[in-house]
Amino acid sequence: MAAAWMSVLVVMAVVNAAEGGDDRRPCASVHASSSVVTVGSPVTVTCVVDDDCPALAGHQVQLRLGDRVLPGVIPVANGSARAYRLLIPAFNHSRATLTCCLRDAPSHIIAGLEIQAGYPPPALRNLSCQANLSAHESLTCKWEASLPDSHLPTKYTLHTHIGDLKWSHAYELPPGVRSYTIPRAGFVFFSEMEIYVKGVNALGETSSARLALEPVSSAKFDPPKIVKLQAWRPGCLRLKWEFSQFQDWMRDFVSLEVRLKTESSGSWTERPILDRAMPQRYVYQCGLLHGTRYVAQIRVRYQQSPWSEWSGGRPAFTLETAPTGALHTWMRVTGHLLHNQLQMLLFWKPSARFRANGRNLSYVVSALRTLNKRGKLCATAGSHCTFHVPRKARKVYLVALNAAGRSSPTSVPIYRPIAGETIPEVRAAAAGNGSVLVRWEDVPSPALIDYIVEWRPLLNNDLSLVRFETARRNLSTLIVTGPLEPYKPYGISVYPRFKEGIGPPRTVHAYSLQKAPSEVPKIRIKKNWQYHVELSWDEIPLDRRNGIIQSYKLFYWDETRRVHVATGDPQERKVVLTGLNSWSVYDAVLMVSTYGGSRNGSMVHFDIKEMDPVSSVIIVLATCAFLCLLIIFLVKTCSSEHNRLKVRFWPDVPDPANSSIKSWTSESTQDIRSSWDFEEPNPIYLSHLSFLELPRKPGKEEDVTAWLNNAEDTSDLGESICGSPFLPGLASSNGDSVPYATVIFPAPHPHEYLRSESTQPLLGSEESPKCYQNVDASEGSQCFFGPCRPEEEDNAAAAIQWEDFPFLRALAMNDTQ
Amino acid sequence: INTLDLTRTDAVFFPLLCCILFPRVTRPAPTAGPSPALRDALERARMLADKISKDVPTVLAQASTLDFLPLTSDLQMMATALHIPPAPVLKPLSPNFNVDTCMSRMAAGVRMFQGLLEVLSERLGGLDSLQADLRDLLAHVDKAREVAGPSGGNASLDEDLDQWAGLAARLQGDYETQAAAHLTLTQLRSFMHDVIRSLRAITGHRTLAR
Repeated sequence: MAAAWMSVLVVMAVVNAAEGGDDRRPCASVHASSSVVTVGSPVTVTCVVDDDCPALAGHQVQLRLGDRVLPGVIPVANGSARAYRLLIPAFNHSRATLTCCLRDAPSHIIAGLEIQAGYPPPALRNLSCQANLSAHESLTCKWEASLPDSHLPTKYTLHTHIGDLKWSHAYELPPGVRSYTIPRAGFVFFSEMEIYVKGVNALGETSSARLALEPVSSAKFDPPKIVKLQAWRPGCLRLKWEFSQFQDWMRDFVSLEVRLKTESSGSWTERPILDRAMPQRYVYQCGLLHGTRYVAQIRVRYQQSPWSEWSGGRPAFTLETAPTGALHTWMRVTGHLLHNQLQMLLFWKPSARFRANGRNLSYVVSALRTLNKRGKLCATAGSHCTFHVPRKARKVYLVALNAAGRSSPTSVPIYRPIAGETIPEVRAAAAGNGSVLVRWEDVPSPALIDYIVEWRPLLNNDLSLVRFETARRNLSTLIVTGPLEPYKPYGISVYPRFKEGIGPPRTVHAYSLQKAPSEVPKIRIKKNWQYHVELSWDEIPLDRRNGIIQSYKLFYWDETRRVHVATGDPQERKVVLTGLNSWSVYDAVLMVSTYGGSRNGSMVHFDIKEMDPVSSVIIVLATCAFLCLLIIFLVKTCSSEHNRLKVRFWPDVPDPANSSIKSWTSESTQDIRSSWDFEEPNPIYLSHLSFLELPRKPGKEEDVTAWLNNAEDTSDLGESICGSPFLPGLASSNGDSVPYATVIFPAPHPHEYLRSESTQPLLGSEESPKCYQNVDASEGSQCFFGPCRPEEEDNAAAAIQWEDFPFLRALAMNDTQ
Repeated sequence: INTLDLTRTDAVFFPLLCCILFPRVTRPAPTAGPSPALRDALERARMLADKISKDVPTVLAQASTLDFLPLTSDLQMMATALHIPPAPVLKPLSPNFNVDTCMSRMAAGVRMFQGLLEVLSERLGGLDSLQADLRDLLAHVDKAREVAGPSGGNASLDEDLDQWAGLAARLQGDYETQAAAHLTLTQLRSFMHDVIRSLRAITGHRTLAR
């Protein structure tokens, strides 16, 4: 564009210079129907060249729009000048330059004209104004401008007219703004004024709709203040209010809205709007609950102005009256006491129609309908009570009291626990917003009245936290709302109530919201065998569970990083891992899951060790000790039960040469005999020794005689003795023979000992030798052993006898050993 | 029988009812107070006068850096020297000082203070809001005068009170300016109290029915 204009100026200078003389007027010019046109509208362009213009002699003229040559130029006769006219049907440029130049030399521009295109000012709408009556009083107006933009320089002005002052003013607005703040001097508080916005450009002007307003009526007041709020009549409050410090000069009627909220309810109750409220005057609010703490807020507006923000809350109590309405109760027997007394636990809560009507509410449980000291069972300000009643009592009465009076008594029938039907199943699931949905299976009993659902936090035993709800008999679900604290366990019990009494409850644990446990128990290696290991862990404390434990999963892996999963029973809390390698070290992580999430514990390491030296030593020592004990036991048993065992396992007749006759007893011989009676005859020859207890007779001579009389029957006994291995010098004359001997002794001593060389068993005492004879082979004499020899004989003779009976001496030696 | 009973009842109670109601019906109408338009104008003027009186201390604190409060009684000579005229006197309503006169004095006083503040505002800032409030007050006083009835012979009073014009020439220095501002605003506050009282009296005046 600048280059084009430069060329225009240069050519025009050339043209003027060519003309010479004093007349500096250009000899060519461009005219358009309008230099500012609406976008898309037609434009007629004319280039007029004087005939006497020497620079253009013999040249044709063309018109160009910017760099583009416009076709269709029509030469028009125009008196002494030549004119070239062109119609541009639609001018679509916001700004463009039309030049008139020589056709033969397009760079020679002889005249030019800039044409702008745009739109009239856009429509101005949604004009609104709002007064500010705070520290800096002003009136701010806002408006909107529609599209499209004019693309042309547009002047906006805000016009005001105050009728009372007969004063008008126009505020020039900076370009592009859509709001303007009129200073305090520009408006009158209580005079209606007219306001509008006007936009003007080359193509026209636009005005917004005229807004008529009283500035104060458009003001958004500061939040007012409640100066006083107090009880008036029962169920009524009255309040006095005022404007904020910047608007406290306002004395006109304003609209006032009050909203109230009780301490227990979280929502505001908006009251009817008062249209003629004035500051420093009482506003009365009635129809309120008695003896209740209310918090009040107000807001104001003047005529149709916007509402102010709500004021700060101010509390007050309404006047108290006696409590009204009934109470919901739930009572159960908690114990049987002596003297036919029942311990009762009574809970209550207000019904929908109950009104405390007072601040300090207390309750009295009485055995009598009329309240007196005699019948009073308990008094409390809480919502539960424990007391005793006689076993035969049928009902108690609950009365609410406050400073103004007491309510009518609520009758509470006493239901005793019965072993009735139990609710088959109770389930509880979170229902959102701190509530739990409780489901139970019906009790198909015609005597059923209803169900009582009781819930309490398990981490707090305070009975005041127990809540209950009554469900009709045809219901099997109930949403327990508390709200129940999230991540905290609650015990929910469902009691069936029958005509005869209250059945046993069914209790479940429930969470309104669950999350991962706060901690994971530590893993303990409980047992460690070869190739498998038992891991266990403690139960998570109830306050750290955050939900119902769904599972314990143990993830373990060895050096190969192959992860195995073992699931532990939530009740047993242990897992046994099998198939482990003794040469690998394992890592394990325990994951505890609730329905709200999972948490992993810390990693533990374990391995399967071969038997360690200490354990090995302990096991070997224990085994040795056991074996020693066993051996000792067996030895002792054998020694004490030697004969019996011997008879049992070695029933052969012992070799008299290798045994001591002293250890034999009559019982043992009887056993031997009896065993022979029942067993088959031994194919080998067996020895037999018989012990006879002879009655002691005063005359020992007779015994000796008796022995001597039978001496010939044991003639070969001495030879057998001489063949005994205890006498190496003796040689047995008959190697196949088995010596038999019978020792006869009067109890307890001296012994009688007989010997026989017979190979035949001794059949009877009448056939046995009467006395043991020792036959000296070398001298051919016989000597006798035992009492057959008189006691009076000298000791030397007795010694000879022992020496002469080596076999018996050997027996004696064995016995000693 | 019922009709007869009713007739008898009416015969008994109707004269009694008439005796009770007649005096009320026949009681002369009370003197009407100000018309709603006049009441609105008076009430709004009163609100503005109240606003001005409350804003004066704030404006004075912003406009003056010197503390003239302890010297208020000592500045009377200076007030005379500066040619700060006294505010018009607003007397209680009486036959000699009627509503029209009272409102004329109000308008004249407001106009006087407007002029004084205009002079002061050339040398002090923070007086714009007060000037605007005085303008609004004057508009409502004029409106009340217009609604209350045609005024007569008070224009000369307004002209007589046009004595503030010479103040500008006498404000030589900053001290004089601040002293003039203190004196003017103090007088303004006092005058506004009088205006409030007068407006309250006019609002309750029974002869303003139109």
